[in-house]
Amino acid sequence: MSQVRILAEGVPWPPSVGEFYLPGWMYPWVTKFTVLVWIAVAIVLAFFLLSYRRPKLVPSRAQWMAEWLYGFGRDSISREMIGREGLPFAPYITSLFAFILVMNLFTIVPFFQIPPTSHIAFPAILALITWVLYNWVGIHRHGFFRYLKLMTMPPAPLWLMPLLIPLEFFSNFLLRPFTLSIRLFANMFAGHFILLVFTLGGFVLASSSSLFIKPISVLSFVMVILMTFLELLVAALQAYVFALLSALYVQQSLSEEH
Amino acid sequence: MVGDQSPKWRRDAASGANLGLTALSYLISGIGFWGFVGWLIDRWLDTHGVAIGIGCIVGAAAGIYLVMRRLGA
Repeated sequence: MSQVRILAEGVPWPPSVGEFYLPGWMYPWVTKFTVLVWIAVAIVLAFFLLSYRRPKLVPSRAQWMAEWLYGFGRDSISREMIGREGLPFAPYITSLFAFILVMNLFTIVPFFQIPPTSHIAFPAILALITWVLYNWVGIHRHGFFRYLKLMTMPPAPLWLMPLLIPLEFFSNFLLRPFTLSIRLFANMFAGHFILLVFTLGGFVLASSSSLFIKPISVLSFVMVILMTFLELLVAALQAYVFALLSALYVQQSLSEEH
Repeated sequence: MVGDQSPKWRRDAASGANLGLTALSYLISGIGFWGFVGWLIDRWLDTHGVAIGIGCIVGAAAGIYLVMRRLGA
């Protein structure tokens, strides 16, 4: 690869997979993603443990934030979507929301600058946990065969049933965890990509020899700043949507008519 | 329900985030599943691909019908 050159101080071009490895440390096993997930877990754990350590009637700022976050997961997501029975699911929904939010925010944190959720493995596992949860809850509530019947019988005339039941099965049991994880993954991946394209594009334009092209790099860097704010929004929104849809799926397996 | 005064539109708007990919998954599973069945029939009866086409069209129709029943007004 003779094309590799240095655009600016510490900006190699083109970027390669090597960026994901930490220099000289546990080479193929521990990547940047691994460390970022550990950091995210540590942040969420430490935040909730410390802010609830000595709860007071008049809460401190940290306690107020933790209570607001849990209240959001409990009232605005779990109760809102599942109803009165939503309370037992509030801890799961809230932890899911907090964990994904912290991971998503890494997309704009300096030096991290990539969310672990933009690696398909992490959304996939989270979606798998939700999948196991809503199926288990549904089977527990209705019994295996009744649950299967509730989830796969569409409101349709009887002669169409053989045509439609496989589709309901596919879309409710096999494609649903897939779409749940793809939604989060694709949003975060695309966001990371946009930031990278505009940043590196700015450097490429700035290093151009033509005087007409050089100034366009300013435009590129302005776009980076705007997109960073957009990413802040997307990070929060996608964490909310993931938690919300998890709650929605639990509600659908609990309800009588689907 | 006491304490459950959440307006219905919020729940509807929330599940709206789900509608697009639900519709897509019905269409994909329709074409994919019945197309696959058509492919099996094609292998069995040697219809030179006609069965795959029929399977895909029937699957697409079933998928569209499901989208209309489930997500339509």
